[in-house]
Amino acid sequence: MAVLNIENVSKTFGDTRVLEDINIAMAEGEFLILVGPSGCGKSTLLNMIAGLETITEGQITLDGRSVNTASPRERNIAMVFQFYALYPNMNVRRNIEFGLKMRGVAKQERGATVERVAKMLQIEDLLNRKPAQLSGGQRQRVAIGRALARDPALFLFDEPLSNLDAKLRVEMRTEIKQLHQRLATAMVYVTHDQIEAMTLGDRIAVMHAGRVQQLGTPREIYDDPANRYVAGFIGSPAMNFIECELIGEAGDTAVCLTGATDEARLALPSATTERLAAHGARRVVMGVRPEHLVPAAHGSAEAIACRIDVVEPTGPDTYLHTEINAEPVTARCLPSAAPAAGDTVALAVDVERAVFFDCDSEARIA
Amino acid sequence: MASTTTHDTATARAAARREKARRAPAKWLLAPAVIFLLVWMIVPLAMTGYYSFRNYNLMMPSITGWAGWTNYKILWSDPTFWSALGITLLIVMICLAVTVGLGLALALLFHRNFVGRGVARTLAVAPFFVMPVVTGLIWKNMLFHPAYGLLAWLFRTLGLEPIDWLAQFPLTSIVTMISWEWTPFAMLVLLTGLQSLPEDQLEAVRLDGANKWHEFRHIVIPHLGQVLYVVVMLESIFFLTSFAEIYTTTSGGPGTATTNLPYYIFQGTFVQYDIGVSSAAAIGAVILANIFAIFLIRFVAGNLNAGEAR
Repeated sequence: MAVLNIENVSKTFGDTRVLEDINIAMAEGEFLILVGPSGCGKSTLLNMIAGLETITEGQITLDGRSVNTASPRERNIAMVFQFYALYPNMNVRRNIEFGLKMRGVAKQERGATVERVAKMLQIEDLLNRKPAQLSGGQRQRVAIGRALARDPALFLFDEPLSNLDAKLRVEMRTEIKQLHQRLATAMVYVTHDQIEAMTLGDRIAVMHAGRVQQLGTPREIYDDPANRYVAGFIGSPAMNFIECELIGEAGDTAVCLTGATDEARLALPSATTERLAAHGARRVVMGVRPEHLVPAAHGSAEAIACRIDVVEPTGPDTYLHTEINAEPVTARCLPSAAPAAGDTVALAVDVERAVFFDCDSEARIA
Repeated sequence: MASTTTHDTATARAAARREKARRAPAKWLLAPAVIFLLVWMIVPLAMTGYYSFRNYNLMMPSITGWAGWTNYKILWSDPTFWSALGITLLIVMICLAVTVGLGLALALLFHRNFVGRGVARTLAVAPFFVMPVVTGLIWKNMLFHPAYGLLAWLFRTLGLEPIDWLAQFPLTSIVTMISWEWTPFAMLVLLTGLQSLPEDQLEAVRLDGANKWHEFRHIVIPHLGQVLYVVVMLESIFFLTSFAEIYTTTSGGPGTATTNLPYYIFQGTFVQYDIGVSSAAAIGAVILANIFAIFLIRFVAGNLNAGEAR
């Protein structure tokens, strides 16, 4: 049975439609990520699950019970906020046990819960401090502790790591993942960071302009994007989009790619050509991730000669910025094989992994 | 060796001189504020202190000279002084309770969104812009008056005997007027406090299962703590020196029922012309105000420090 079921949910603020027909069903113990740019409606959706925003249309059920009209306190949900939202006048212990106190849990039991949670998050020595005396990372730990103490049916995280510095963010990310593995409670996690989304989620809902663009496992989202938006949002550096002409008949289609000088023709796999033929368009956008655009082996026939504009070493990989069909693209190579800026390099496209989108609708066609 | 030492001290002296010259304008720029403070505060205070130890009664111009503690002894044995002190404290305490209580209630009301809030808020703040003397006259002649007053008309309409408020309930009337004037101030300050309350704290406390009362008790009140102290401090200082409302309405009466310390000092000086005793009473008032100020400033300072750490 689904822990959380979001059915045909829409939301309007005045005349503005911020969420459009959202459908998500969450399994027991699942870690669901809502990812998207600012203003895509992901936080609004989270607030609607929490009961902090009303639902304009549709239905949200929690443990099989409709919660459309239930107040936040009537839902068995705990939330971790972006700006921690700790109670400044209470020390850490009282912050953690506050939710239990409100629910009338006996003092002894509260004490035991606080000890257990503090131990789990390694904040035992901070229990008597006020939030003002804590660092950002410590505050977020306390905020997570406050949510844990309640032992809710569902955890909500609203960009919990976006206020921490880069190093701490990576550490906390791992800790949250460990926490989820240990607790096996369902979690909904909102973020705009696609790396957080990829690393944490069992499933990811990529949101844009008030709609779920794609809902799937990180691998599905990465390898099999539903449209150009998802393809461009997930992945760093971003996927290359090259507008190109299709040549030839169904079953024997190639794309024309022009690098620095001459035109290269790339034959496409048959499965791809069939789908492209079914669609019928002659001009399409080809999506190739940087790791599938690499320097070609010597003498390779289907290589594109490109002049490298910028070389960007990142440590494990070196990225090469160049142009194909007059559009900027990024290729990846080993640091040991990195050319210099200004060199002309033959690049090969892994056509098996390339994806194709419609020029206008940006929908995936092959 | 010796010559270098003298040379060093000489350069050091020159450097000190340059430093002094560099700082000189600061002194001059500070001067107006310092002079202002001297003329307006220190000089009158010193003169009051001096007069309180002199025989200085305009009705008895022949008796002059050093009085020692006589003025203070007279004051000590004057029951009116003690009653004035009690009335002063009573006014401060009751007015504080009423203005802060009502101000908080109104602030909570005006923090909510409703149609016509802007107009209603402006109207609610209006009493604060009425001068104390005008406040006294409005209440005396238009509201409290047993014949022409609005309250008298209301009582008569209901078939009741009108009450002569200023004669029958003098202190209540004074407290009402002062509270009417100062509730908007409390409301304004507390409202700004409410508006600075982070929304996510309220959301967090709701998800933690709190009801409206818990929200108020555990989040709103602690958040308002600092502004509440500011309101209490400023209002106590103003309530301690309430004068115009009393002067224009009850003139300290009936009897001495509404004579507070400022009015007692005024009467001593301009009715009995005993400047010596009045000065002694004024010193008493200064001491009282300082007792308040020390406690409150400590309170506020402590809170401000706590706020900085936040």
